[in-house]
Amino acid sequence: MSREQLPEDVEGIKQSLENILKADFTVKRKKKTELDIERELFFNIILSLERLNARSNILMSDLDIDLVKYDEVFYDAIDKLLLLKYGKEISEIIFFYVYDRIDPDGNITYLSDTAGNPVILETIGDLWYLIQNIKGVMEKKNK
Amino acid sequence: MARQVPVFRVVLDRGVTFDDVEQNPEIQAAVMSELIDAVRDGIKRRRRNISLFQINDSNYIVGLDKKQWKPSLESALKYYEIKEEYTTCSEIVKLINSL
Repeated sequence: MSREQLPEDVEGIKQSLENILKADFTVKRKKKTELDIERELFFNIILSLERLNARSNILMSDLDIDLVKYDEVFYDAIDKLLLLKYGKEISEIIFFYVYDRIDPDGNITYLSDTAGNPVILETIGDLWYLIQNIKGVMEKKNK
Repeated sequence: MARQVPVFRVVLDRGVTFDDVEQNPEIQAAVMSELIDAVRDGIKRRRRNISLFQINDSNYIVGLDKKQWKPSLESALKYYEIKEEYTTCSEIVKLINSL
């Protein structure tokens, strides 16, 4: 029976844990929950938005083709769908991640939390966990 | 209340390897602590396998079959002996004896 090829990070972490505990680990796949499905879709959507944004920027900078007006209606629809799903506060964080996180020099800019501490979003995973935390706080407030 | 399987989140920066991950003291401490909780829960619920961590944003869960609980607890025991955390050592010995 052939063994399933594990993703690189899963294999690497499994190996690290085995070395730390000097024991053999098992790996299993859990059944996807609704949250897992939402997370996967979210990752795909944000990745597509990042690609779209990068494509527009490259066309502008390298070929001097300005598609802003042409793309505007698509972006507007996508932004409104995100607003519908996540509300204003969370959508603004998503917009920041996609459109403003990387400045024109390629540096990562960051948000600040209510205490003024920097909130650095390096990956879509960071964005996802920040959103889950905010949703959790909002749910507690609303109880 | 059922134990929640924590997410093990590691994103490797450029130049960082999984060797660095396993040498990281905070990660070691988290793994040891979670092992103890998981084995305690596994004994209580008469499990044959414990789930230790969900990996990053995947649906993969790493765990230990029951025959691996003792060797892993022995590793944890050595770890806490070096740290001179004898209360935890005593708890681990109790867990080993109850297997």
